[in-house]
Amino acid sequence: MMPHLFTLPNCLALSLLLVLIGAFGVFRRHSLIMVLLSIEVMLNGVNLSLVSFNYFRWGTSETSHYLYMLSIGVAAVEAAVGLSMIIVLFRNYNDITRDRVARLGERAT
Amino acid sequence: MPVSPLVEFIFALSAVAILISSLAVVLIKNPVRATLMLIVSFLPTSLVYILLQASFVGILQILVYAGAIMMLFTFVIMMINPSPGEGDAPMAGNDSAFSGLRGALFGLLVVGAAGACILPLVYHAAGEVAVQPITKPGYGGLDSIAKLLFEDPANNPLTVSFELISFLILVGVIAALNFSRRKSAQAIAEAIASRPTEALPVVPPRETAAPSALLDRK
Amino acid sequence: MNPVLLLLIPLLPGLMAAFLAVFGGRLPYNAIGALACLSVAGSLGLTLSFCGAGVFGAGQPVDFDAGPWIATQAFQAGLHLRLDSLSLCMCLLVTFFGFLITVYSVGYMREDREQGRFFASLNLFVASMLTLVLADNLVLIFLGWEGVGLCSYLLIGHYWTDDGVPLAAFRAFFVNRIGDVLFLLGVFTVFSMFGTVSLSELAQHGPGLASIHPGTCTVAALLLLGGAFAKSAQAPLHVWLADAMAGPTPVSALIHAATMVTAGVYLLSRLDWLYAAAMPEARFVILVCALVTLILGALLALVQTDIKKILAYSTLSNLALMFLALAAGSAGAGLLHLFGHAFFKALLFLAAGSVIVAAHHEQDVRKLAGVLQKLPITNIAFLVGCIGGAGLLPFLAAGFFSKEAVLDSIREATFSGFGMTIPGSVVYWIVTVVEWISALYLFRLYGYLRADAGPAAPAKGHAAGAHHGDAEEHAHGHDHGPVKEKSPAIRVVLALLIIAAPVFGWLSATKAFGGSGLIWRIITGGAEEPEGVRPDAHTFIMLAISLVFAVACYLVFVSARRREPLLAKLRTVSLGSFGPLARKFYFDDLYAYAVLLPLKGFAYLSRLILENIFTGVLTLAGWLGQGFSLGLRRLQTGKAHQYAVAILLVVFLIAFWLGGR
Repeated sequence: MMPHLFTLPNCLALSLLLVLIGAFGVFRRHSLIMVLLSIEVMLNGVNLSLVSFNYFRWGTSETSHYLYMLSIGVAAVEAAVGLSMIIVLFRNYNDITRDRVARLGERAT
Repeated sequence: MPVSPLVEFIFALSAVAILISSLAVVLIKNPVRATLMLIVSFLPTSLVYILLQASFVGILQILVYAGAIMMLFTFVIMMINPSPGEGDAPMAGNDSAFSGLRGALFGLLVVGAAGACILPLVYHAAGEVAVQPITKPGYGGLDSIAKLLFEDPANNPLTVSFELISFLILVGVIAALNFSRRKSAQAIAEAIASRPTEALPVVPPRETAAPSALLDRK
Repeated sequence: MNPVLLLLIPLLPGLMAAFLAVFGGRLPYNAIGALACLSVAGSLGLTLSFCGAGVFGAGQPVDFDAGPWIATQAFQAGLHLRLDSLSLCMCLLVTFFGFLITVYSVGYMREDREQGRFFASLNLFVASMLTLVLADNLVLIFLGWEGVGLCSYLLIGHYWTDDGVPLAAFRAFFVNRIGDVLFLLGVFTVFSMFGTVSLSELAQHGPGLASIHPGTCTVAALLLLGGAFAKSAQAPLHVWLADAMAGPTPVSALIHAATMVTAGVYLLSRLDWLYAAAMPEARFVILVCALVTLILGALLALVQTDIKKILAYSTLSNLALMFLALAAGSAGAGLLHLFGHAFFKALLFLAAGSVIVAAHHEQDVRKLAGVLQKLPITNIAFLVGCIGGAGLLPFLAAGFFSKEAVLDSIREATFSGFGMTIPGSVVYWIVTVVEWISALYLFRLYGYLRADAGPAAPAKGHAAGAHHGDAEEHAHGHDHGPVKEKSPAIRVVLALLIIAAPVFGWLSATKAFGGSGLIWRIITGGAEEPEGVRPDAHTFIMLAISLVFAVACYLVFVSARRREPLLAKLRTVSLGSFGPLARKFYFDDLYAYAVLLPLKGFAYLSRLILENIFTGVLTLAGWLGQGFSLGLRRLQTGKAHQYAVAILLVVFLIAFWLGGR
């Protein structure tokens, strides 16, 4: 009756959509924090694809689950460092829009 | 491999929930609410993981991602307390082609086009892939993963790699601490002075550009 | 006689020219002059040494092969020198006059600057001319041809800082260039027809082959004619000779009277068999052009006021006479006039040079009255030269016999071509009239110079001394100082020539007038004079009329009776402002319209197109580059988030591309 929904292509499609949504957020948001959040969305999608591949195609080992752990570890570190940078930026400029960041390289005239 | 219709139903629901909440993350202007929506999106994600027989992963998702990383985000947002939509409106002088409604539409276009192009390929490629059944007993459980990681540590590359994650975290801690350390004015001046001047000088535009020698010929 | 000495004849002056060109600036003047004279004297000595070698007349020619030059499978042109009777005579002419004029130049150029350059060019000229006359093949002749053309340019342009001089030199070179092109085309035609360019081979086998293909012969003949006309200044390529007088007078004497301009006549006499075998149209063309030049030269000489211009146009007329002899088929008469003319024209030019340098480079005859009275030797030189030029006294001047020979050959000949036939007698009378005019202008010149510049009648135009009607001391028409014959070199050379010219005249007496015909035989390599040539009534008529003109000029200018109003009136007559004469029969305008205007138009058009095209292309390239860079620059916003967008885009593109494979 219901078509098979729980298939690899569907999972991958879901993951792709998450990546795209996150990408859109990276383009679009001006505030740095929101950019970081969008990156988290993208990572979420990638992790999903990792685990779904393992489930559908590799039944003998859960190595991809470990890869998932690595992924969130790296995400954590990256979020920490990025947030600390945001704090510093905010502290110095009181402004964390991406245009301000883009102008960081300008020499003080 | 036949799955029960309940599984499929839950998967469908979760998928929809993930998508809606992720969309909300990128579209909502208020950063606090956007963070909350991200946390909300983790729940269906975890559910999907459990449906994929990756129970440990599902737990980790909630514990680590939603529990630790998102807390970090929340703390910082509360500290900075940006006003909703701050910076989202195009600033004066920001005449980039990617700002405003035009930018939004453009972004949507790009993303939509990419999706429209790649999705059929995904379906085409992945659809031909034969599904392999899970044969490992206790697949995805804590025991199984523990054994995978720590069994026979001398010959297990995953063990080393797991320990190295902690090293990575250490590096991150050091970096974060160093960034946010208050520096004296003198230290700041020294840092600026010692920095190589790789920034390009801002060249003022010429008011009257001299015509090229070539065009000057009478 | 060792044939190697033959090589030294042109080589000596050539090497000296190179030496003087390099070191001439650092040597003292006397050294330069001495070296230059020495080298030409060496050539003269060598030439004289060959005189006793039995080459003269129908004797045995001396050959010398200096080595291969152009040696390809199909075409060989070696450095072959050949000394036969005619070559020896030409060598004697060139070295004799070359030596005399070099010595003369030592006196003439004393106050000049850049003497090293002058004497180097002069020596180079002698070397080139000797190469020309000694060459045994047409390509080597062309080498000498080009060499004399170059030296002519260099020497005419000696005072290149003066107005109009560089242009005159360039004009000479340019017109000669046209002739050179035609000459080369002629050589190619000859080679294509006969398979060789060696003169001796051509003389042997040529006549036989030529009679088979008269058409090609005519083409070759006409092309070579073009070259000869340019070098010898016949119409329409005569325009350069008058302007060539901008050079120093010794140059005019040597190059434009005695030697270079005779190269055309020499060439044509060498290739006489070609013109004999070609269709009569070839000789007809020579006739027409020579007649035009003859009349043109005489009329224009009559109205000139510059000494050297008068002599230049006289040279034109005399060269035309030589060509008329060739057109009539008598190369011997043409060559005889070549030699005779060389003597009296060189004498006239050198005397004119003496006048000019004595009067501080004043060349207008109207201001030179009374000069000859102060320069005795020059006076006699001028008189002898004018008598010879007018052909007055048979035994005193060389011109008489040669002119008679030419006239006789014309009278005997019939010129036909292009559907027309002109009997020789018509041309005969035309030439006679022109000869009367030549007597007139020569003695007019002499009269101007010989005239007494004392308190003459105030005149409106040319009467001498009009501006300086006061004391006799200033009777030289110039403010600068007394007139006197300046240099021993000049005096010695003039004296030599005064003696040499009549001697040659006496020697050149043709059989018709009781002479031995020796010179004729020598020049033509053993041929005898044609029979039926004897003095008759016409000869005496011509003599008489010429004498009348001479005496008339004397009366008008020189005698004590010149102050009579009628004679004074005659002196002021001038046709110089008459249209065609003033415009030199519009030849200059012809060239301006036919040659210069198209050239200028072409140059202008080319410049327009090229400038615009190049500018346009370059501008387009620049614009494209700029536009491209401007467009690309927009991608470099410096904003990291936009770069992130770009990266994402590329990633998607790659994914798409990979997925499609």
